[in-house]
Amino acid sequence: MSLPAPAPTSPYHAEEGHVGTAIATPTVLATRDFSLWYGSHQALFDITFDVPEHQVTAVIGPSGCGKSTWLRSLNRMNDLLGIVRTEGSISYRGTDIYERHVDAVEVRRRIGMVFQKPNPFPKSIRDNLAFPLRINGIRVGVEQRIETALRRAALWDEVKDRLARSALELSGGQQQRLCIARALVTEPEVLLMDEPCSALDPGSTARIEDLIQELRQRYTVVIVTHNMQQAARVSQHTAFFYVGRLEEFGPTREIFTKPTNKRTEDYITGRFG
Amino acid sequence: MSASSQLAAPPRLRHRHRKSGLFAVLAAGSLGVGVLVVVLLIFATMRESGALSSMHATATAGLALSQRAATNGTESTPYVSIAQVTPTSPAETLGLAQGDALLAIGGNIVRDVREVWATVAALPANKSTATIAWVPNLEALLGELELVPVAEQAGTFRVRLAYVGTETVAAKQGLRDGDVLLSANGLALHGSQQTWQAMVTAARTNNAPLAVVLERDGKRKELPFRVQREGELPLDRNLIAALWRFVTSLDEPRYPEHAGLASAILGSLLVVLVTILFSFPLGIAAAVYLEEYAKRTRITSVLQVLIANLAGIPSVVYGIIGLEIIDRTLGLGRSILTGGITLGLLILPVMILGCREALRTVPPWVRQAAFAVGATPSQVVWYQVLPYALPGMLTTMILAVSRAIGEAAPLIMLGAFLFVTYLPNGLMDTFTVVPIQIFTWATRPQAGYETIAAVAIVVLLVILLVLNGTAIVLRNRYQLRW
Amino acid sequence: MQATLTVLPRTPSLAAPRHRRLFEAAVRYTLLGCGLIAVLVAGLTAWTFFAGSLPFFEKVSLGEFLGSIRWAPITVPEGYGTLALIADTAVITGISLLVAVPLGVLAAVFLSEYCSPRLRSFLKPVLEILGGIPTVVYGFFALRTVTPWLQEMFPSIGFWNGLSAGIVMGFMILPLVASLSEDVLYAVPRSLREAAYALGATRGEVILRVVLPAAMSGIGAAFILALSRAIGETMIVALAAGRTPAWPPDPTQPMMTLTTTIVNIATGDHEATAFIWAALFAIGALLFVVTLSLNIASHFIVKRFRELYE
Repeated sequence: MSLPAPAPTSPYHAEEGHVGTAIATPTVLATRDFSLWYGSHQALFDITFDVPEHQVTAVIGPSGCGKSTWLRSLNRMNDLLGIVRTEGSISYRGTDIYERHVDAVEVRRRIGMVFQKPNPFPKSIRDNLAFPLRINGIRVGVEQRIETALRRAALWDEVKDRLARSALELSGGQQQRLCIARALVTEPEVLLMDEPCSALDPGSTARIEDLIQELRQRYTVVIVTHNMQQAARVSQHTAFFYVGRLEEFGPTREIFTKPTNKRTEDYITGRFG
Repeated sequence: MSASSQLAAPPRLRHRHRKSGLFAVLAAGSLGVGVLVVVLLIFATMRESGALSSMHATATAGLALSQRAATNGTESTPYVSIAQVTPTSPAETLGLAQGDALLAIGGNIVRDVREVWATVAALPANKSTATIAWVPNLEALLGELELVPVAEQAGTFRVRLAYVGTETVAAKQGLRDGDVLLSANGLALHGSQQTWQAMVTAARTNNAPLAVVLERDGKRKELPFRVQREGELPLDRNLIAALWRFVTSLDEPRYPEHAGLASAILGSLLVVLVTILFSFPLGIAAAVYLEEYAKRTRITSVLQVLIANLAGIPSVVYGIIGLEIIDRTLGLGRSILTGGITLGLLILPVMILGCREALRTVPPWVRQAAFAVGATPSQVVWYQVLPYALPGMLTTMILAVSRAIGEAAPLIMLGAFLFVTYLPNGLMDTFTVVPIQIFTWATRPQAGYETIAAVAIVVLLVILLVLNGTAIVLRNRYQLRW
Repeated sequence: MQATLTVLPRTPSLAAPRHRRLFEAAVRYTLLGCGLIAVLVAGLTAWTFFAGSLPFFEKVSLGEFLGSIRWAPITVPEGYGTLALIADTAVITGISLLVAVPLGVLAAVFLSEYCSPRLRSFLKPVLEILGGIPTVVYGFFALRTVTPWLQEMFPSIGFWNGLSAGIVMGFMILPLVASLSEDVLYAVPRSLREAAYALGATRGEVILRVVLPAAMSGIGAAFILALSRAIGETMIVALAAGRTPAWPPDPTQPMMTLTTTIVNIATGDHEATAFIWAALFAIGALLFVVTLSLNIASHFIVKRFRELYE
């Protein structure tokens, strides 16, 4: 892989060649002129871009820029706040998920989510994975599915002997992988990750970053991170948000090497953040 | 001067420290007083309830006792009258009958009903019988009487034996028809009832036969006359048996030793059952709606404040609501159903508050995690929120029930079921409950009712202690820590 | 072994299945209905008192109701003045607060400032259990134990008297005052205490000069709640205080509070249609309004106190 010499400040430099190149794939989630208000406060302004299939899309930006808000709009988690109003559309495979007849529960069953802080249910490891299956009415091959999900989350070998133990006994990194497994067990198409490593130590972070690369084979991943190196390491596409607006979107390599936008450049070179 | 002594407190500071210590003692003392006084009052009540086994003993022996007063001129002496004798009881076998006067138990003179029970309680623990002394009632003692006016004192009457028969005590001791009784142990005898009463008081002070002066065939004559009889009466002082009989008997309006708590206990159970059926589903559902479904708006926060403060409205006020809305408007009468719903209304705010509190201890991320894997709102609540909120909710429920069990004021409003001598048959029956029974007994004038009120209090307190203790343990032990 | 998972249909029909939609709606509206019943109850309560006491105030002026001392609803001419009842209620309430507030606040100070956590975790449930003793039991204590004690000390005290009821009521309310005040003291931030210690204050001085003044409004709220509880207390006064209004109020003699009056009317042999029932609603409404206002006032004071320190 040959790259033009990157700017010395670019974090991308450190992980050169780690991730595959951004290629054109079909769009899974299309955001069009999407705006969002919390009460009277507008948090997102006319966001428009596409999330491509089987790629990792990273969203970066300073805190409060709306990146998490946008992520939570993709599976309508913002609905739970009760005071949210939206305009524009977010389409999943051509269907606007904000249309009247669309059920947020159906959306979330196809678009899984992993949160900033590991949040396993305070139950056994098995129960954590059985719950999504049960509410989806899946009763056959439950053990099989649990094992597969744990393997895909690279957790199986560590927990296979203690599935009945409480999930809270696991370490933070294991808990986060359990949450990933929990999101995968019902086989969604998209996996949203909201700063999934921010509460973890570097070793656990590395494992999860590796895992994200494997997951991309089967799922479309969208990851919000405040850590630019991480975005550079794991993603093929990067979106840069600033004060509720999408400033720039493109292949990760281009964003980090030759950003077209002045603010993006300032941000990734660490002039603010 | 060494460095350490430089840091020692100078006198002024020592004085301040002493004042500080005094304040600590004051604070600890206040808490101590607050707790100890109530504990002391509870102990006093428990002591009062101790007479139960003696009451049980006289009652199962077949006696119902009541307090009477012997009057002689202006003087009035109390004595214990046997008001009823249970058929085929040991007392009847012994020959005791209604109207007899009880003089002594185990050689100890008893003047009033409390003394009877205190004496029975003081008998040696291994004794299951006691020698009792009594004076048979007027008829069994003297037969039929006639009144003879006293010539020199208008309005005063002596008694003349009109028919002594063969079975009376008088006949057996040589008194005859036509004898006019003049005095006993030097005490002038007047009137029929007073004559008998005078003999009772005279016999009580001295175990020997009375020296009776009488007029027979126009002549004065002195005769020894033993009015008291003695016998061994079996007395069952088993406390367990006493308690069991107490909780399984009905109320008795005159003789506390025969009264029991059965209808009140059953009434309490049924009322609380209705209360639970009414307020638990409503309270839990309302709490779940407010906490998990309702949007946070002005209206819900106003509701929140209202509900929180309805919980502190005097319970007697709920009684008025029960009376007006449930009894009169809905026409449910002064029934168990009305009582239960009234108490249900009373604890509904408590339930809603407590359940919301319990739901709030489940952190929001649990809900988020459940929603994110595609759970519907009801699945989130049912599978992820309620299980974790359950210990807190159970605690609330137990505390609410124990409040309902002890509540009397609103039910007193609902009716004059202050005297219920039957077991409730259904939910539309009138009823009494334990706290009201306590209230009733505590206000009855006859001696002994305060004792059974105390016993009922001990029973109630034990039940509530168990309930509240369970709730506290449940809360401290099983509540998940996040 | 990597088993394949059955995949949800990729062509998205994102509408909820009909049965699920119906079920969720049913759950939601059932819960809402239950919530509405609770609200309805609150509304009905207010309405009952308003409608029930309306006929009373058509005949008796508010001035007479609150200003006259003559309460004689069944004699002729009738009197519907509650001033004596209010005064008796105030005296008994005052006695109970004299017992409950100093002891309760000091007990709270001990619990929050001096007590070891172990002792505290034992004492708090004890207080809670004492607070859970039914009021009729406290009434019995007053009538059968405290009154005889008082009579031994002061022979002039009547069998029924306000003093005994007030004292026992104080001990009944004490756990409430202690627990509320303790919450408040506990909420006073550590930094305030530390600042005072750093200035060389002794422990007692920190509590008296810093913690208690800082917690004053919260303790005031506890006081108001205790006041409301004492005003509404029924069984103790019904058992121990007697049923004769005293004017001027003398706690050594029988007294009749507002709550006893309600009990008296309800348990008396009055026709349910008689005017005296309207009087019952009027007194009930008075109690309802007074206690609800006190509770709400206390609620907002505590809220403001919490906002101050959080």
